[in-house]
Amino acid sequence: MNNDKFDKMMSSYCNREVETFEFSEKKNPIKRISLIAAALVLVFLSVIILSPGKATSDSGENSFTLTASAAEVECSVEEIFNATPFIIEGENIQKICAYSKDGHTSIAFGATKNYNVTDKYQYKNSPPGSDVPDPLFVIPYIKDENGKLIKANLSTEIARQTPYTYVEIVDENKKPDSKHIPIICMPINENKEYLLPEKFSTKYNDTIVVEVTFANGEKQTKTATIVYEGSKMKFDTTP
Amino acid sequence: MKKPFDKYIAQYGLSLTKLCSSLCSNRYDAEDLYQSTWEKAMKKIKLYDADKPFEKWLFSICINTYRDNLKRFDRKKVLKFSSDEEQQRFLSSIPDFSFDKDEYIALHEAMSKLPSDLKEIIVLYYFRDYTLKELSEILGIPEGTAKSRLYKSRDILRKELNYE
Repeated sequence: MNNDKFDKMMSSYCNREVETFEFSEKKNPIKRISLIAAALVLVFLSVIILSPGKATSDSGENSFTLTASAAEVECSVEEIFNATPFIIEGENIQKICAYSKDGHTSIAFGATKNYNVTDKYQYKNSPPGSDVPDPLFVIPYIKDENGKLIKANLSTEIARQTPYTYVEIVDENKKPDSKHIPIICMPINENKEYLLPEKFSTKYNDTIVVEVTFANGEKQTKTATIVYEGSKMKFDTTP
Repeated sequence: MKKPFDKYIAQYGLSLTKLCSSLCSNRYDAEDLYQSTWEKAMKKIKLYDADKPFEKWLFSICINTYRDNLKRFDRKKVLKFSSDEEQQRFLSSIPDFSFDKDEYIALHEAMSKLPSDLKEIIVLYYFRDYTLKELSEILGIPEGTAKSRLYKSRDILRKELNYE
C-alpha cells in the first residue's frame, strides 16, 4: 500500500470524532483534610481484626459484616482476578470506603445492581494519610450473576482504585438494598505494579480498612489483614 | 484560577480529548489522562508563557503525564477493546471511513503495541501536522531524535499493516 493511503488512514485515526471528556476538579481540600483526619482516627480506633470468620457490628440498628472468603486462597494467573477475598454485607448502607493501609494492595469493589460507584473521578481523592493522589490501577473484571468473570464497564460497575485511595459506593437517589458487595484485592509491589501469583516471591502484609456509612450518617469501621506469600493470599488474623 | 480555565477547557477540551484518545488504548485510560493533564495544567499555569501557543504547552503536559503513567497504560495494551460496544464506538468515531473496518482495528492494535516514545510522536504528527521542530519542542527531545522516531514509528506501522 502506498504512503498516501497510510497517511490518510493515520490522519483519520488521530483525528477521530470523539465526544469531549468532562473535566471535574478535585474535591475541596477541606474535605480531604477532614477525610485524612477521619481516617487517622479510624485507624487508631480499629480494633476488630477479621479473618476467616465474620466480624459483626458492635451496636445499634445499623450493622454490617466483613467476611473473609476463606483462610487462604491459592492463586493462579487466571484466578487472580477472580479472587474475592472479602465480602461486605449489611443493611442501610449508604457509602463504603476502603483502602490499603500499607499500600501493598489495589482494591476495587465489585458492584451490584443496587449500587452505583460514585463519580468516575472519585478515586482521584487524596488518600488518607498520603499525598499520592495519582490513579494507578484499573481492575476491569467483575463477576456476573453466574459467577463468570467478565470485563467491567468501569464507569458504572467497578471503581478504580489506588492502594492509597478510597472508593465510595453511593447512590444519591435511592437507598440501596443490596446486601452483598465483594471486595477485590490485588497485590502490588513497592513500585505499585501488580504482582501476579508466580511473583508472590516477596511476602507482603497488608491491612484493608473498610468504613461503612449508613443512611443515618453513622459510620462503622472494620479492618482485615492479608498476607501475600508464595502463590497464596492468606487472610490473617494477626494485625 | 477557575474562570480562565473554563475558557481553556472549552477551547482546548476537544483537542486534548482527541490526543488522549489516540495515545491510550482504551477510553478509560484516555479519560484518566485527560483529567490528570488538566489538573497539572491548572497547577502549573503560572509557568505558562502567554506568548506561546497554549495548545502546545498543554500537549507537552499531556505527553509528560502519559509518560509518568506508562506502567499503568502499558499493562493493559493486550486488552485491546474491552467490549464489542467499545470497538463499535471506536469505528463510529473514524471521520473518513474510506477503508475496511478491519484495517482500522488492525491499526488500533498496532498503535497499542507501539513503544510509547514512537506512539507519542506519530500521534502528534498526524494529529496536528506539526513540524519536526514543533514536535521536538513538545516532546522535549532533539530534532534529530524526533526525525528518527517518526521514521521508525511509521516504518513499524507500515510493516504491521502491510503498507509497504
